[in-house]
Amino acid sequence: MSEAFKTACRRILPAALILSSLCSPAAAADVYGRVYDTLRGSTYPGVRVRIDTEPARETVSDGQAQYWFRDVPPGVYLVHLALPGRDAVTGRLLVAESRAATIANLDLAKIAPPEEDDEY
Amino acid sequence: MAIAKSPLCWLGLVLLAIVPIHAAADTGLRILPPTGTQLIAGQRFDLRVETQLPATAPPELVRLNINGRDVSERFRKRIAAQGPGLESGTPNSPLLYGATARNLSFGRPGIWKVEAVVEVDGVLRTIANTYPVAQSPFDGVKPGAGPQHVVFFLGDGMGLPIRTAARIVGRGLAEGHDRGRLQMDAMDDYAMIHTASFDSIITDSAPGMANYVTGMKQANNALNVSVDNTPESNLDNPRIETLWEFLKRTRGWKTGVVTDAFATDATPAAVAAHSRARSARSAIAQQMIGYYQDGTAQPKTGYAGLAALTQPLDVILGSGGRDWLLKTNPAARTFYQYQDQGRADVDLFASVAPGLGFATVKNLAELQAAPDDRRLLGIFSGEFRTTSSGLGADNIPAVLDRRVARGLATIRGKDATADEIGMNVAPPYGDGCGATVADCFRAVPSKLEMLTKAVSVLNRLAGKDHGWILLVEQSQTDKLGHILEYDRVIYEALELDESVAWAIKHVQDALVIVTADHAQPETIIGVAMPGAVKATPGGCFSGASYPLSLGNAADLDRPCALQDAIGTFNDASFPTYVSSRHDGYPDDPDPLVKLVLEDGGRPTYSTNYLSNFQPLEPSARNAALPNPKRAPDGLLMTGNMPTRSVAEGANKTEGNVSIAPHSGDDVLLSASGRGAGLFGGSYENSELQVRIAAALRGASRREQLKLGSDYPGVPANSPSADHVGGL
Repeated sequence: MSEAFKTACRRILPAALILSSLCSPAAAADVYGRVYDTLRGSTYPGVRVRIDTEPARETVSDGQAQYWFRDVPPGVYLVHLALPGRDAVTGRLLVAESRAATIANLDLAKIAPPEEDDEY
Repeated sequence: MAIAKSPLCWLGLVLLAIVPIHAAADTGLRILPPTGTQLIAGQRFDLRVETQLPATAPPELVRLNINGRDVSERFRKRIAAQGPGLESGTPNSPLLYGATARNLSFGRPGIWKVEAVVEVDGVLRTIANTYPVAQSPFDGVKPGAGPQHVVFFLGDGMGLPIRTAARIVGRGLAEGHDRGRLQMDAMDDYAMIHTASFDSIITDSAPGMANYVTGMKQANNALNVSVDNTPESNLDNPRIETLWEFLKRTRGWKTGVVTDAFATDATPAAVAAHSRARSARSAIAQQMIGYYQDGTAQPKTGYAGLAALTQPLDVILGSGGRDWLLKTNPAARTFYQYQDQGRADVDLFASVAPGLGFATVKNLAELQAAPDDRRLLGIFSGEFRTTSSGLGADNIPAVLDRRVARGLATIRGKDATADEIGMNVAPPYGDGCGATVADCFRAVPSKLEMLTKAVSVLNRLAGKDHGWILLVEQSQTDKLGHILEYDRVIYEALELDESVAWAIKHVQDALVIVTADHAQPETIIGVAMPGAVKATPGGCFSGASYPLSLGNAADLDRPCALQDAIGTFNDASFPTYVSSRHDGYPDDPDPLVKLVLEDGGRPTYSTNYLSNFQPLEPSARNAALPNPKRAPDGLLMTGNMPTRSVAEGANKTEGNVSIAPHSGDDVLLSASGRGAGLFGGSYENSELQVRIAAALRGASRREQLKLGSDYPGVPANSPSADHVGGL
């Protein structure tokens, strides 16, 4: 085996291993988060949370404003919040396959437009 | 579909790289400040360990190592001494761990490693952070080694195209040559700054400024705090000391802010306040003057650590009377022209601030008459015209409009007496600021008038024994950019440049920095001769109703002549602005040939390339419909802002973004004066503080920042945990 080939293997193999781990059939992950608004210092229990899996799943945030989705395939999803008395809000969610759980706090201060332009 | 065959697997390589939180996946265990925070020796910060995923039983801290030594017992004692609750950031749920030790510091420069081990459901979880700590500005340095005065100019949202546009409009060109340069073009050194926040490539103005003055990447909407697992409270997050606070606490420097935004807005608040929510304006105002009182927006109970951290400013000049005056104070309505706004708890302006030694002023005459030997709180009136939109009574009127009020400019040939301008009428809620709107606007000081007074006060208060540091913000480069008032934005940049020139010439022994917190997606596309083309009869799309059906027969028969008013590329030629006073400002923003800017991110609006007589929001009730009051016969520019936040089942007629956004572009930083040679390069906003610290030590060349580690101003050694202050 030539030295050049060994060198190439040393450089390429780690990257290939990482890539193969990313691209092998993926284990589903749990998604956990809380629904809140840091600009208001408010948390939101009782919010309907829907994730656009196939088929879509829906849950309701608990008394601590927490929600869970179990065994979600890795991927990117839209997540929809229905809050009483407010417009519906849509956020984006990345479920990464290398993580035991995906923490997806849904901060309305980030994913909903500000109530005032001055909050930019 | 097998993921191995999906583009998602390739996408994963990218997306995993942008997961923003340095935390254990199993528990969300993390240490705050975030890893990589670039501190200076002696700078205070709160150290927090927390989990984000609830366990089935209460998690426990097992070990906390700082540079190899277990300090967990000292940490627990500190938490116990502070007490649970707000002082220590205790989560409501016992199934989450979270504890914050307040106001610690690393007393020696070097590389500091913090490792936490937490037992969660019987399993030991570990996380480790690294903090490069730069040399203190003062330790081991002779007094006066570095500059004694620092003036930090911040053009909010002032991207490179705005600096270019200001030069073109303010100085002009002939045969390709500049007729002159801005002061910003003639500084000693330049850098490209990477502006991302902790959690977004697009920062808002809070972390955009706070990152500069703390060395810590902060989340959008945050002011000198980290994220945490107690979203119920936005005032208990782990905090970090700002450079303004550090210089005052350790060396008695005097500090100040000058802005044309409301004084509690994100940029001025970023040097003096601590809140997860930039919107906590009433509490921020109290922090800026050091007033903690139960029963007010900024209570005392639960905030001993915060009160020990903040340092009251010595000069505060801006607007936003509603954050300082009681709603029942008549001046809130008759002077500041708020219909029904003001504080509900305490009058900071009328009673608290004077009791803390502040002189309080409301207009130019009072500002100029104020004593130089007292702290100064100046709150001026805003853009309260009811016929205008976009700035509002919270924010000082635009430079162009103030110049019109003073008889120094016209808009499309109209002066302050013209009905279209809206200044020849009485203010809406009383004549406290003047008999007419023009009187009130004339009485608002310019940036230069505020700056000269601020420097006089700081010089007097500091004396010969202390230095001072001052933030000067040009806020409306951003606020007017949001509403696509490009002509007005350029006047703002010119006013900033005028102040920079004054500071470089008149402030002795100074380091002067000019930069932006972020850009907006504005760019120069050419010139226009709007007066040469008649608007298309009936407008380009007038009479259209939502949804627009572009390309139908009626529209095809009505080409928009305004598109032919634009000269781009080879045909751009040069604008013809006139400054008959030779003061760097055009007499009128609409010469025969004018500069045209456009925006890469925008709501739907229409334009005829003429300046609006008054600032106006670009869109109507949402991002999809143009404001019918703004260039109704103009060229329709369709929007590209998000429309995802709408009621289910509805069309996009409500609830979305109706202003232009920030961008993720790098911004330009310029520096002049003592130590300016340290600032060239291309680096993150959170690397700026250590450069200022090095300048204050007397360093002047970038080579002096290389001390053995990969970080500027940081030696490679690993100091002993004995040098952790406060633990």
